[in-house]
Amino acid sequence: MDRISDLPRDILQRILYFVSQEDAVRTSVLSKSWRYTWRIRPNLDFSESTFKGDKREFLSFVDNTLQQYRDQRLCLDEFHLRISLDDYLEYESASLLEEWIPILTTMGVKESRLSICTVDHNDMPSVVFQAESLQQLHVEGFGMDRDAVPTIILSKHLKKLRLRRVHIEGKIFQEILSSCPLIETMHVEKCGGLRNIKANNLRRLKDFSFEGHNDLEDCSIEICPASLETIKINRGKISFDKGAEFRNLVDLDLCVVEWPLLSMFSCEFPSLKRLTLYDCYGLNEESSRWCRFPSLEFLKIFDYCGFEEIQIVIDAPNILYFEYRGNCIPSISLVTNSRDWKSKIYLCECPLSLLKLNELLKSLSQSKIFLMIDNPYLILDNGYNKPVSVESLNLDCGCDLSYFSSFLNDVFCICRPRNIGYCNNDYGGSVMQFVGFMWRILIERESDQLSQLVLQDLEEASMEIKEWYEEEWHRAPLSEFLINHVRCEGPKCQSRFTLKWRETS
Amino acid sequence: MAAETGTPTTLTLKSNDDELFSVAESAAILSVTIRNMVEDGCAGGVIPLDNVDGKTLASVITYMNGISAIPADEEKKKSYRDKFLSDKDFETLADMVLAANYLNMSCLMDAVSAKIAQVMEKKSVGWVRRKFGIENDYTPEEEAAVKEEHKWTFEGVETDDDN
Repeated sequence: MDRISDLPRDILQRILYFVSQEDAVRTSVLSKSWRYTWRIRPNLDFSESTFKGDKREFLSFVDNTLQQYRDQRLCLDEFHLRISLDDYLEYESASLLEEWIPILTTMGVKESRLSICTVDHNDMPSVVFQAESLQQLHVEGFGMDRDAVPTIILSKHLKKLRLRRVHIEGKIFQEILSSCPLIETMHVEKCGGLRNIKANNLRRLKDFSFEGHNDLEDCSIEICPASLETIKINRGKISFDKGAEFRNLVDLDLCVVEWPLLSMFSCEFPSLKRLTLYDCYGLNEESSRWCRFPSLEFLKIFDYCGFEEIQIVIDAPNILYFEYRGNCIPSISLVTNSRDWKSKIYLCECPLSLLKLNELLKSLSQSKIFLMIDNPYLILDNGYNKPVSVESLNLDCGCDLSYFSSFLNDVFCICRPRNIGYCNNDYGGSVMQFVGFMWRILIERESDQLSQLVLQDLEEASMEIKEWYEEEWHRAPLSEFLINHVRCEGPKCQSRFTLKWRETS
Repeated sequence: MAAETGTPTTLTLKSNDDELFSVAESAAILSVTIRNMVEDGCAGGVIPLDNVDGKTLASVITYMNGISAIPADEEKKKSYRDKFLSDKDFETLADMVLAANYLNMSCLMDAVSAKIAQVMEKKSVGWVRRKFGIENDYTPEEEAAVKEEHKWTFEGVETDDDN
């Protein structure tokens, strides 16, 4: 029984709405009654990349279909087109686009999405901003100067704007923003000519991402609509208005951004869950700061310049994860009610002041601490007192073993790791040397290596190994590790030492 | 409507094969058709639904109860719909889409339409014909000509013996 062919037209139309363009067109082969049925579909979706014929066929298919829809007065609500204008048919494509967009307007299309790209910075066809139904626009590689962007922009309903490798002046960019107040998503990537972005008037903006152009001066960005949910900036200058409240902001991700913290301190982020500061710079010297993020769960600070100069107290009652990576020990402490959270500290080529490290570990002692120290240079200082329990400590296995035992003595004075392993770099057998050395001092307790004080506190030590594909660690003697480590190709067998410390008062 | 007094109002629905179902009014008014009847005061006795059989109506009521129990969370509603439709065969889906259309339930209508569309995704012409019971009335020459006209749509389609 052929039930689908007997379904009422409006139901069939709804089903075809959800089918892809090629699946819809292919139904014309099913039977005579299906020959033209696909054209009741109220949406057209043409993508040059999924169209397997050549470019000329693609252009004529789009052109014919659109004309048939118009001439037969078929219903068309949505029109999506993805096309490149960088081949031998560039001019033909652009002039067809000039014809198609007015057709969309006369047909009363409610929503159009357009994605156009080129490689050689031609002017974008100015007809694009004449599309009244335009809701999503992705432009890549074009120049958008006065010829491409008319003074009167008809695309007032634009919700999503993505510009990539576009050359555009700030003035013209601002004109687009002020003509399109409904923008919800804005992605600007590697656009030349753009020196500043002022997006404070986009009251519906939810998702903003920006990637600066490597060769140019940083673009300055002013952005503070309360509607914002995510901000992601890579290489730019951002200034938040003093006292601004980012009521809905959940994700803030800043990379190579100047002065982000300083301007953040004066704003409110009641919903912020994830904050990432990567390779940023600029802090007010010699100051101490307190800031509050009531919803913060994930905080990551990587390679932030100038962190040694400032003391920061972060009030984050709901923190779950804190990660710091850098070449200085930060004076940072987290105030939280959270019971079950982790902190991961990765110090690389860092002047290692034991006093500062002890302070940092004490301020994180409510969390499960994972500490990694890679290629340190030691500053001998004292004044530290109680060692802090640490879940794991990973050390640089390529270091000079001649001073290693004294380094270990110092580190054990400030922290008591449950596990000791090594960072994942193996320069010519150094892992085996490192593990062998640790075996001698921790398991065999070779004299003169660890100080008596440390040895007194160390109740028990054992070695555990696991292959890369295994989940669980298991106890093993040194010989088993050495055999497995030498034998296996690709990812190596790993080892760690598990330590049990006596309670010290 | 007695919502304000605290006792949930129950409606009685009657299928075209005379089965009776009782359902909470708050769930039943997901159907605009039923809501209009309630608002017009026609819901006093039994609401006859002349275009829906008992088997389909039972299934629609399961959906009404399930979806109205989920608070305003679009993702949870979507995953409920996916699960609800996951084990339905095409015959059942065709009955459901007709019922959803008659009852004017746009969320169910869209979900079932999308599910039927998904069945056709990247499938060969022969497979779709068999699945939906469509009889091919083209001559081989005619069929070849239509295929040639839209040959770009045959790339990446799952292969089939009588493609």
